[in-house]
Amino acid sequence: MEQKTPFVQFQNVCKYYQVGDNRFAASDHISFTIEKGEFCVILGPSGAGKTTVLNMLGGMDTCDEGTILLDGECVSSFDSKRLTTYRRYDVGFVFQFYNLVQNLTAKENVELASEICKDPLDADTVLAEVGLSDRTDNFPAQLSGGEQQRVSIARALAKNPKILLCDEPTGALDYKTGKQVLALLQQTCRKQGRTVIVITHNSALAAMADRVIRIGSGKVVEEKLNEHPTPVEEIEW
Amino acid sequence: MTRSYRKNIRRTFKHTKSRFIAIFSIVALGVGFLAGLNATPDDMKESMEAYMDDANFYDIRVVSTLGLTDDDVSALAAIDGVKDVQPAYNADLLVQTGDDTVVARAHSLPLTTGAEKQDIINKLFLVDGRMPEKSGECVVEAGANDMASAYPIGSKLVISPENEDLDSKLSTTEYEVVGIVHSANYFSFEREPASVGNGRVNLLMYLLPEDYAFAAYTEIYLTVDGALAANSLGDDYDPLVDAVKTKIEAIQDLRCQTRYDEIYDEAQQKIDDAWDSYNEAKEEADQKLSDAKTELTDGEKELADGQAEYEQGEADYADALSQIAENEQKLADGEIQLSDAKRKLQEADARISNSETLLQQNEAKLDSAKTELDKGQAQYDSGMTTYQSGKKQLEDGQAQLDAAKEQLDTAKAGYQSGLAGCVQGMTSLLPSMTADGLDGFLAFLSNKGYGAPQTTTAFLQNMAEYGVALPSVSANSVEAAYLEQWISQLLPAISQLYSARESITAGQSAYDANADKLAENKKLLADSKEQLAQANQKLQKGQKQYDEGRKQLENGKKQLAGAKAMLAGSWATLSGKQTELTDGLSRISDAKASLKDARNKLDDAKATIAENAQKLADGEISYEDAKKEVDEKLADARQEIEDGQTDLDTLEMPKWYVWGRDKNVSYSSFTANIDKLNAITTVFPVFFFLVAALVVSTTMTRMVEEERLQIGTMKALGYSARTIMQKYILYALTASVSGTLVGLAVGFKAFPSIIWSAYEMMYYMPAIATPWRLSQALFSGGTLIALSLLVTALTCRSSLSEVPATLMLPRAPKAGKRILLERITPLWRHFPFSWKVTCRNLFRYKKRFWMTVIGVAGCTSLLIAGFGISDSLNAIITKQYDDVFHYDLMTIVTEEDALTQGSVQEYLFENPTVFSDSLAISIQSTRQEAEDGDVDVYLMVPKDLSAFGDFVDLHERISRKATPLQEDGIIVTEKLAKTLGIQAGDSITLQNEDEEKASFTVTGVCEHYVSNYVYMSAATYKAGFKKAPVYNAALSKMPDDSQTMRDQVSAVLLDMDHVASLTFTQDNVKQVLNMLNSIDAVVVLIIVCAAGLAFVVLYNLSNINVAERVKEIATIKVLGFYDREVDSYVNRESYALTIIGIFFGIFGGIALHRFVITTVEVDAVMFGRSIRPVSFLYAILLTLLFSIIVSLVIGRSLKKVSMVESMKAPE
Repeated sequence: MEQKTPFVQFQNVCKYYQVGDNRFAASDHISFTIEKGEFCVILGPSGAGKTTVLNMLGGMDTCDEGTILLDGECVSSFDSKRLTTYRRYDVGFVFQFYNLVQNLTAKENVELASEICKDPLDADTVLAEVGLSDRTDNFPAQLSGGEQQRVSIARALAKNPKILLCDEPTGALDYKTGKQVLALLQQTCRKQGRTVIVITHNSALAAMADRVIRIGSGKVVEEKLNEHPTPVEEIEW
Repeated sequence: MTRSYRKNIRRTFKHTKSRFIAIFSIVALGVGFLAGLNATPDDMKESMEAYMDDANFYDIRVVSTLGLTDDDVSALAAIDGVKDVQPAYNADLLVQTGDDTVVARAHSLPLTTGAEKQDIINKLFLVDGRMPEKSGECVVEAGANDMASAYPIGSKLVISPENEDLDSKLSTTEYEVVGIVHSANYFSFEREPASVGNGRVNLLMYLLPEDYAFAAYTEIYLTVDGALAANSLGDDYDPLVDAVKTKIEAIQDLRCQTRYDEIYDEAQQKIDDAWDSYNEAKEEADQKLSDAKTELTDGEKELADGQAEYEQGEADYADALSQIAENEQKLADGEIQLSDAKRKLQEADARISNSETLLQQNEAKLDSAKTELDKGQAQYDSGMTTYQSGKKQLEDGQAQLDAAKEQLDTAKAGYQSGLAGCVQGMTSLLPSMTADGLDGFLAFLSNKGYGAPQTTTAFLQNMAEYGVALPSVSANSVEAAYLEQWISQLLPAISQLYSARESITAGQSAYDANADKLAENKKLLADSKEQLAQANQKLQKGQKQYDEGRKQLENGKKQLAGAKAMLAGSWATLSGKQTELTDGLSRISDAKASLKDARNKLDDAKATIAENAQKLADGEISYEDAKKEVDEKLADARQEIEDGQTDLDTLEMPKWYVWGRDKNVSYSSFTANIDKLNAITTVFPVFFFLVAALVVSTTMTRMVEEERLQIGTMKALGYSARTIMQKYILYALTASVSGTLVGLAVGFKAFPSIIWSAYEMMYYMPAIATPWRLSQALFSGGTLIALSLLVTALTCRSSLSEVPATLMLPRAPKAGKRILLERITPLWRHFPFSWKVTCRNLFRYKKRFWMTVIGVAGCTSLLIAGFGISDSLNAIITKQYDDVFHYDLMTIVTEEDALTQGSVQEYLFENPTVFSDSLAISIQSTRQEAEDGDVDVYLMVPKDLSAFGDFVDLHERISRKATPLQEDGIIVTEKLAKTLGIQAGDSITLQNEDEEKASFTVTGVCEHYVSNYVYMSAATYKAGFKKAPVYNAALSKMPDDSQTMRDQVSAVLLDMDHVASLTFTQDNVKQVLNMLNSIDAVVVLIIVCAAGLAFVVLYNLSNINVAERVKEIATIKVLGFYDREVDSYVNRESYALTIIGIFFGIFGGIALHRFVITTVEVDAVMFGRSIRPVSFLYAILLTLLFSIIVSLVIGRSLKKVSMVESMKAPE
C-alpha cells in the first residue's frame, strides 16, 4: 500500500442543494482518503450527508466543488457519459432494497451486470461465493430478503469493480440476516482484497471496519483507522 | 370532503397530467370517431330531407299513358290528404348542340296559370343566370357532376328534327340557355334512363309551359298533407303517402275510362268531320279540273293554225336563200379564178425582172471580158516588138562570130606551119620531136605559167620537166656548144610559137564564149517566140467567146422586150375582170338585205308561236300537277282518316302510374348509399371504442394501484371508502367527460364533412348539416364514461376491501414467471437479458398486451384499408383500361352503313397511321331485372368474333384464365354475375334494347370493373333474339392517344355525318382519377385516425411501463447502462408489441378493406379486390414510424428518471 497516492481521495468536496431561498450544503468541504483493500464504514445519522457522499463516489451525482479521485482518476471531472462508464466498470453497488429485476432469476440478475462488463466474473462462481449456488434459477420473489441481498452483492461483485459501495446493506434485513450479509462483505474484502465501502447509520458496525469516517451535518466529524477490526460475528447491536 | 382531501385531489390531477391526457385523448378519439361516423348517415339523410323540403319536392308523381287533363288535376286535388297538385309536361328529346346530338329531358317550369296561390312543387334553385321569361329560353340542370358545364349560359340548343312527333310535343324548337339550376329531382350523378337515343339522359332542361304543344299534361306532381313535416326516411312518412296513393289508385279507373271516352269521342268526331270535308273538297276539285281541260283544248287548235302559216313563210325564205347562195358561189368561183390569174401574172412579172437582172449581169461580165482582151493584145504587141529587135541583134552577133572564126582559123594555120618548121629545125637533135609534142610542150609551159624560155638552161629545164630527154652532152664539149647554139637558134621560134599559141588560145576561148552566148540568146528568142504564139492563140479564143456572148445578150434583150409587152396585155385583161366581180358582189349584198327583213318577220312569228305553245304546255302541266296533287291530297286525307280510324279502334285504355319518391333515381340511389355508409360507420369505430375502453381501464387500474399506500393511509386515517373512491371516480369522470365533449365537438363536425366530401362527387346537395346528435352523443360518450367509471369503481373496491395494514405494506411485486418460450432452452439461453425481460414482461401484463396489440392492429388495419381503397379505385384504371379494354376509342354511329362505306368507314378502318385497328360492334344499352331493382347492362356483339380478343381481353379475375367469347354462349361481367347471382353454366333471360327477351347460357364470368356488360357473338344474338344485331359502333385502337391526337380525331369524326358520339378511354381514365382525388381525403382521414390511435395506445402503454418500473430503470442506470441501452431496455417491449400488432393488423386490414369495398360499390362499378403489396409496406412502415416517434418521446422521459429513485423504498 502506497502512502503517496491514496486509492480513494475526497478533497474539500462540496455539494449544495437549493431549498426554497436557502442554499443548503449537503456536503461541506469533505475530505478523506481510503486505501485499497480497506473495509471502510462511513457513519452518520439520517440527513448527515452520507448518501450524498455515496452518490458522488458512486458516480451517480456530481460535486459542486473539490476533487474526488479514485485510483488516480479524477471522478469529479467526469461528464455524464464518462460517469456512466465509470459506474459500469469501476463501481459495484449494493442497494438497501436489493433492487433486483423481478423478472429475472438470481443468475440472470447477476448476468445483467456482468454482461455489460469488460472483465466480469462468472455468474455461477460469484453466486456460489455468496452461498446461493442452489438458488440460481429462482426469481427474486422466491428468495428471502437476505438471499436477495446476497444476489445483489453477487451482482455487484460479478462486475469485478474497483470499489464495492454498499448503501445500508442491512437496512431492510433482520439482525441475523444482516450479520450474515456483513460477514459476506467483510469476507469479500479480506479474501479478495477488494475495497469495500459500507454506508450506515449503525455505529456498531464501526468496530468491524479498517477505517471509520464519521459524517455529521455535511462535514467529516471523525476519521480513524482501526488497527484491529472486530469480526462481524462478535459485534452486537 | 375535507379541504385537505380536495387539495390532495387537485394535486393528483396536476401531477398526473400525462395519465389524464391519455384517458382524455383516447376517450376523445373513441367517442369522436363513433359519434361522428354514426352521425354521418343521419346528417346526410337530414340534409337531403332539408333539400327536399326546401324544394317542396313531390311526394307522389302521377303519370298516364294517355296524358292527364285539367279534370284529372281537379280530381286529384279533391282527394282527401292531397295538399297541392301541379300538372307538368316532360319530354325526352334529341337535342343538337354544336356538332353533338344528346339525349335531353325537357321539363316544364311550374304552370303559373292557376288562380289559387299554391306552393310550387319541385322548386328550382337558380345557380347562375336567370329563369326563362319568354318562349325560346330555357334553364339547364347543373346536376351532381356539373352536367351543365357543356351548355353554358348563352349556348343554343336546337331540338333535333329527328325527334318523332315533334310538333305534337313542342311548339318552339330553338332555345337559348339563360340560366343554370339545381333541382331536387336530379341531384345524383347517375343518368336517368331515357326513352330516346342511347338510353341515358345527358341534359336536363326546363322550358316555359307555352313552349309545349302537348294536348294534355304528361304528369302531375302532388304533395301530401303533413308529409313535409314528416321525415321521408322516417317511419311516419310512408303511411301518410301510402294512404293518399291508395286513394288515387281508387279513382284511377274512373279517370282512365273518362279520359278514354273523351279521347275516343273527340277523335271519332274529328274523323267524321274529316270525311265530310274530304268529300266536299273532292267534288270541288273535280269541277275545277274539267274547266281547265276545255280551255286547254281551244288553245291547242289556235296554235296549230299559226304554225302552218309560219311554216309557208319559212319555205319561201329558204328558196330565196338558196338562190343567193348559188350566185354567191359563182362569184366566189370567179373570184378564185381571178386571184389565180393575178397570181400567175405576178409570177410572170417576177420572172421578167429576174431575166432582166440576169441580162444586166451578163452584159457587165462581157464588158469586163472585153477590157481583158484589149489588155492582152497590147501585151502581145509589145512582146512582138521586143522579139524582132532581139532577132536582129542575134543576126549581127552571128556575123561577127563568123568573122572571128575566120581570123582564128588563119592564126591556127600559121601556127601549124610554124610548128612544122620548128620541128624540122629540131630534127637533128630531137628526131622524136613531133608537132604535137612541141604543142604539148608549149601547152605545158602555158599551163605552168613559165612562159616562153628565154635561155637555153630554162629551155632545157622546161624540157626536162616536160619529160623530153635531150641528148646528154658533157659541158664545154663541142656538143654542148652545138647544142647551145642550136637552142639559141631555136629559142626565138619557140617564143614566137608560144605567143602565137597564146593568142590562138585566147581567141579560141573568146570565140567559144561568144558562140555560147549567141546560142543562149538564140534559145531565149525561140522561147519568147513560142510564148508569143501561145498568147496570140489565147487572145484569138477570148475574142471569139466574147463575140458569142455579145450575140447571146443581144438575143436575150430582144426576147425580154417581147415578154414585157405580152405581160402588159394580160394585166389590162385582169383589171377588166376585177371590175365585173365587184359589181356582182354588190348585187348579192342588196339581195341579202332584203332577205334579212324577211327573216326577222319570220322569227317574230316563230317566237309568238313558241310563246303560245309554252303557255299551252304550262297550262297542261299545271293541270296535271293540280290533278295529281288533288288526287294525292285526297288519297292522303283518306289514308289519314282511315289510319286515324284504325288507331282509334285500337286505342288502349289509359293507365296511370302512381309513383312515390322511391322511384326517383337520385333519391333511391342516395338512400341506398346511405344504407351502405351505415354499415361502414358501425364497423370502423369498434376498434377505437374497444381500445378506448381498454386504455381507460388499464390506466385507472394502474392509478389506483399506484396510490395503494395512500388509500391505505386514508383508510387508516378514517376516511370512508366512499370518500376515498370519490377521488378516483372524479378523476375518471373529469377525464372521460372532457374527452367526450371534445371528441363529440370534433367528431360531429369533422367526420360528416370529410365523408360528405367524398360523396359530393356523386351527389349535389346545397349544404350538409352537421348538428350535435343527442342519441349518438349519449350512446358513444355515455357508454365510455360509464365504462371508465365502472372500471374505476371496481378497481377501487378491490383495493378498498383490503385492510389498511396490508395496503400500507408495499404490495408484493408481481412475481416473475417463466414463459412458454423458456421451454425452448437452446433458444432462450442465447437471449440477452433485456430480451428476456421483454419477453417475460410482454406476457406478464395481459391487459396491456391486448390493449396495445388491438390498438396497433387497428392502426395497421386502418392504414391498409385506407391505402387499399386507393388501390381498389386505381385498379379500375389499371385493370379495366389496361388489362381488359384494349381499345382507345368507341365511335357510336347513327347508321349501320356508315361502318361499311363512306367517310366514317374510311377514316376509322383505312387510316393505319391514326387507328392501328378497328372493329365494328353492336352496343345496346339495356336494363335487366335483378333482385333489388333493375341494373343497367350493355350488350356488346362484335361483328368479327376472331378480332374481338384484341380489343377486349376477357379473363377470370383470380385465375386470370382466359374466357374468350365463342360462337355460342355469353360472357357476363363479374359484378353483373354477382348482382344477378349467376355463374358459368347458368341460363339467364336477357332483353335487348328493343325490350325483346331471350334466354342464354352463361359460358364465362370475366374480370370487369366499370359498367355491366354482356358479351355475345352475332350468331348467339341472332339465335336468341331471332334477328341480326345492328352494328352501331366501332372500337378503335390508336397508337397515339395523346390529348392533341384525341382532339384532332374528335374534330374530324364529329364533323362527319352519322357520327353520334365518341368515347375515348383516356377520358374515362381521367374521370376515375378525379374520383380518386376525392377519395384521397378519406384516406388521409383514415391515416390521421390511425396515427392518433397508435400514438395514444403506444404512448399510454409506454408511460405506464416507465412509471411502473422507475426503480428498475434507475437501478440499471446505476449499474452503468448507457442511455441508449436503457432506452432499448424499455422500448423493446413497445416494438415487440407493435410487431405483433402489425401482424394481426394485416389480417384485420384485409378484412376491413374487403368489407368497405364491397359495401360502398355502386351497381355499375366493381372496385379492385386486391391490395398492392406496396400498400402493406406503407401501412407497416407508417405504424412502425408512429411507434418510433412514441419511443423517442418516451426516451426523453427515461432520461429524466433519477438514479436516486433506486435508493427509495418500494412503494
